[in-house]
Parts: sequence; C-alpha cells; structure tokens
Amino acid sequence: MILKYGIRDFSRNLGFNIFVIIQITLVFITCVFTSSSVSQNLKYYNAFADILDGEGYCASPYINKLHRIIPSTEIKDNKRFSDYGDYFENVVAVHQIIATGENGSENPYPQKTFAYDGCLIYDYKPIMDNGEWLSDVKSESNLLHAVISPNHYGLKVGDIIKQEFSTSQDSICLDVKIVGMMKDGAKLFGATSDNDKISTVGGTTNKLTAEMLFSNYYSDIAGKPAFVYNLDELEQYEISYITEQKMLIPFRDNLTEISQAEEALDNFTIGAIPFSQIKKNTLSEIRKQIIILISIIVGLFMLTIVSIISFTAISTHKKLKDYGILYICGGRWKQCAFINFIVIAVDLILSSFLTCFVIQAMKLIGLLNNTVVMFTLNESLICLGVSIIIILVSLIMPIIIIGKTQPREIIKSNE
Amino acid sequence: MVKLNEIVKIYNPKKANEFEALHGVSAEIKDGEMVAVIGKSGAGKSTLLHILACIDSYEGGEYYIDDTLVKKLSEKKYAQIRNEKIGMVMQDFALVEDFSAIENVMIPLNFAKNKVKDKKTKALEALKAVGMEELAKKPCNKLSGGQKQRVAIARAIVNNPSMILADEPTGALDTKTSAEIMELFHELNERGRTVIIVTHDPNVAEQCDRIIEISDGYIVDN
Ligand SMILES: Nc1ncnc2c1ncn2[C@@H]1O[C@H](COP(=O)(O)OP(=O)(O)OP(=O)(O)O)[C@@H](O)[C@H]1O
Ligand SMILES: [Mg+2]
Repeated sequence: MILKYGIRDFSRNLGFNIFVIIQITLVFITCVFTSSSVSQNLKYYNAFADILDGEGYCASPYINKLHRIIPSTEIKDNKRFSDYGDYFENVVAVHQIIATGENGSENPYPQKTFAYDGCLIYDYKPIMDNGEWLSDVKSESNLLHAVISPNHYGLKVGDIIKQEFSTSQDSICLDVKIVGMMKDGAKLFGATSDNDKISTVGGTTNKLTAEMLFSNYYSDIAGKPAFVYNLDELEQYEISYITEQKMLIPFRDNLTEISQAEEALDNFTIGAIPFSQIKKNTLSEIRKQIIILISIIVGLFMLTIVSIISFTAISTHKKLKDYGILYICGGRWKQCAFINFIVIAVDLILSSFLTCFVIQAMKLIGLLNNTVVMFTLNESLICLGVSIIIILVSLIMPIIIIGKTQPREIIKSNE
Repeated sequence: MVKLNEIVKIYNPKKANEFEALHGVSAEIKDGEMVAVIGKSGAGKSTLLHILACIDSYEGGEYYIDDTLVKKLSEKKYAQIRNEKIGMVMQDFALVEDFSAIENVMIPLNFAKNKVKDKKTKALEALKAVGMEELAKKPCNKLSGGQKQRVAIARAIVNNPSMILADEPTGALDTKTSAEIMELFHELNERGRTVIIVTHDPNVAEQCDRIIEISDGYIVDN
C-alpha cells in the first residue's frame, strides 16, 4: 500500500524526480571517477610502496658521460650493479631486447620490447583488454610469453609466433606465445611514446611521482605495438638486454656507507632523486587530487541535498491531506513518512542504473580510454554511503513536518 | 456499543489559545442505532465525531468502544481500531484524488492487521453496495460530488466496521442525491450497523432513531 502510494507519488512529481535523479547520478559519477582515479594513483604507488619506503634513488643510466647505454653484458649483474660496489639490490628497471625474424631476417612483427621482472610483474598490472598478465601464466619450456598492445599484425591472444633474440654469444630462435592483450593506452613503466612528463623531469626537477614513471602506451603513436616479456624467462635463454630508462635503485638493507653508495651511483647514473622525495611527491599529489575531487563532490552533493530537502518539504506539505486520509483508514502517522523514503529510494535506484549506463556508454564511445574508471567494491561502497546520507536527508523534512502536525489538524483543515 | 462518560476536550491545552470545546459530554449509543448529531456551527459536533472516530484525543472523561477504554493506547492499537471498528465518511469525502475509486476503497484493506485475501473482490462488493461498481476504475478527481460521497461510503464499509460515522454527508449534495445517500445509510443501518451522522439538515436528522443536540460543548437534548 505504502509502496504503491510511494510509486504513485514518484510519477506525480516526475519532472522534479528526474531532476533529482540527474543530480544524484552526477554525484555518483564523480564519486566513481574520484575513487577510481585515487585508487589508480595508489596503484602506481603501491607497485613500489615497499621499495620507496626504503633508502635509494630513482635515476637514469648515464648515457652521455660514457657515450653508451648499459648493456647487461657489460654490467653483468644488473639487479645489483655489483661492478660499482656492494651497495644496491633488486633494481627495478625496464629492459629492452633485440628481436628479429628467423635467421636474423627483418622482423615481421616490429615491436617495442619491455622486459620486466620483480614488482613490475607481480605488483603492477596494466589495464588488460583480454587474456592474462604475465604474473598469471606458468612458464613453459621452449616458449616465451608476451603481453602485447593492439596491433595491425592481426596478432591476438593465443597466437604463437617465431622470434629470434640476440644472446650474449649468438642468437636464439624461440616461440613466443601471446598470452594477453593490453588496452590501447595502458600505462607501462618506462614507456616513452607520449611521455613528455618523464623527459622534462630530467635530472633537476624534483616533482617526480610514482605515476610519472608510467606512461600511456598507444601503439599508433609509438609506431609499433608493445611486447612485454618476463625477464626471468629471457634469462633462462641468456638473451641479452639493455637498460636505458629510469631505474629504481634501492640500497642494500641496513647499508651504512650511504655516501659511498651515492658516489658509486654517480658513476653510472644521472638525475638521481631519492625515494623519500618520490614518496613525498606521490602522496602529496594524491592528497591534492583527493582535495580537489572531494570539493567537487561536496559542492554537487550540497546542491543535491538542498534540492532534496526543499523538494521533500514541498511534496510532504502537498501530501499531508492524503496522509490524513490514510490515517483515517487505519494507517499510522509514522508510516506516512515512509512514503517519502520510497520516492527517494526509487530515485536512488534509477540513479544507480543511470550511472552504470552513462559510464558504460562513455567506455563504449571511448571517452574513458585515458582513464581507468572502475566500478569495484570501493566505488560501490562510496556510492552506498552517499545513498544512505541522501536517504537520511530525504527523511528529515517529512519527519519534521509530519512530527509537528497532528493528523486531526490536517483532517480538520480540509473541512 | 459505545459509551462517552464526561468527555472534556480542550484544544491547545495550557497555551494562550486554550479552548475547551466539550465540557463533559456523556452519551451512550447502542449497537444498531441510527443517531443524528445536530447543533449550531462551532457547537462541537465534529470534535465529538473525531473523538468517536479515534482521530482526536480528549483531556477528561472516558470513551469506551465495546467495553475497551479508548485512552492512551499505542499508536498501533489506535490505528487498528480505526481500521477495524470504524468507518468514517468525511464532509469533504477525503479521497486520494488521483487514486481510482477502487483504489480508494482498498485503502482500509491494505492497512488491515491480517492480510486480506481478494481485496479487489471485496472492494468491488462495497462499490456495488453503493451503486458504483461501473465507475470502479475511474480516478476520483473525475467523479461528481455524489459519486465521490458514494465512494467514501464504500470505503467506510469495506472493512465491515460495526460503526459508521459521517460528518455532514449530505452537506455538499443536492436534495435528490442527499436522499439517495440517506437511503444508503438506512440500508446499512438495517443490516445492523451503528450509524452516527453529524448534520445541519433537519430533514436528515428526522430520519434517524435518535437526535443528540449539542450547544457550546454541552449536550442539550438527547
Ligand atoms: N484545532 C482547534 N483549535 C482550537 N479550537 C478549535 C480547533 N478545532 C475546533 N476548535 C473550536 O472548537 C469548537 C467546536 O468546533 P467543531 O469543529 O467541533 O464545531 P462544529 O460543531 O463541527 O461546527 P461546524 O458545524 O461549523 O462544522 C469551535 O468553537 C472551534 O472554533
Ligand atoms: Mg464540523
């Protein structure tokens, strides 16, 4: 009965309810955007959270001074740079390998190679279109796994191609199985395709955040698709790799000779920025983002609340006569306040649908290619919280108005 | 049977605009009686009727319905009494305007404590009893005054209450329609229901078994 009355009431004030639904939808969408953009930012940070908590530097290989990049053959141990002393460990870096067609012929699949290991495989996963990320596949003998970006070669998940790779001695021909396809524009550590940020970071600026270590990779802009390999797999076949992008170089645990380590670092790197700085920058960036987005949400939310309060006040007044009628027929006075709840609940349900629809539509149109809007548990919980506040707010006016009025007054005022 | 014992009604008690509308009203109305309540405007007729209908409270005295003292009950209990024992016909019909006739008649069934089966059938029967079954689906804002009054009566009887209270049921109607409505009340009364009608119309009052006259909050004639 009350439910039916509520739904009737909804359609009676259709115009205003649509207005409220649009407002709530806007709030929901901003919440989803905020939450996913913050959690996205945290995702980049989380990939290195352990490392950034310790001592160490982010730096680029010193190319100009030595007029060379650092091939692994030269450095041997590029996870610890032990040539430069016993100071470093578990270096995080992107490596490149040289892949050609069979017998050194021109590669039918020109590619930008990314060889990752450690946290870049296990603590970070780019946005996938389909298939699996490298951390989710088991190694197979005589086969390399690769995750690639969209391409014009017609390569898709499940395909196996032959590639020849340079090794320290010679070269080796191996099957490469495509296990996953990233979304175009997925962010990759050490990508440079549209990476203005990281190049301006250079050696002097100290604004570097964890997110800036990643860049969107668009196959078309880069001119060729990305092929991401697992460095551990490559090492089994002694495939040579070179390191030319920014590296995160942590100091060994409990290292006491910090200044010696810093001097050593200076021998092969440029533009070293301490981890503590990156951590600080990242967290303050995230905080800034949260503050901006929260203010937008609060603004929108206030507007919504004001309109809901005035709407419910007006509509409750209009409905008081009907409530009087329900009261005469055996309804309880408090039940009548519940009618308003139903109207708002319908608003909220429709807003939720609209939100999902709008986000889905934006995804389909491609408006969200650059951002990662996700509708996960976090986002749902935030929207649920917002909904509860809206419901509470929507009940304030009816409860006040109905509470202040005696049913008899309404019944009499109509006589 | 209902019994009023020295009922005192004070509007806005302990406030500047305090007003005592009933000064100790006593009356007894037996089951199956048809009673008219008359009196000048402002005499306290509606006030009395609202107390009888459990819509309004009272400050002094006792009001019994079938030996239950109606005082300081829980809201739930009051609602149940209104729902089960009383059928109220208001002067302005008190219909939910954008509900259809049958939806209005179904309101008391929807609030019933025990789930009512065949609500539609019951509501249609009540509408048939007032000669409105053909207009059951029509929204109330498209009905005439007499038709609305019939729907209001159908709603008052649908839950089979023992007592039907009507505040100026013929006030807004022409003579012919008034007569038809009074005919309906007679029929209901013949079927054993207590009928209490507040009216200005001496014609209406004459048709009742008994007349209670109120003046300035006192019963002057019973
Ligand atoms: N809510 C109220 N507050 C204060 N006084 C009230 C209130 N309701 C009614 N009264 C007063 O109580 C008295 C009785 O009112 P009531 O409505 O019972 O009169 P009535 O006999 O039904 O009159 P009418 O024939 O005009 O309907 C009147 O003097 C009226 O002014
Ligand atoms: Mg009156």
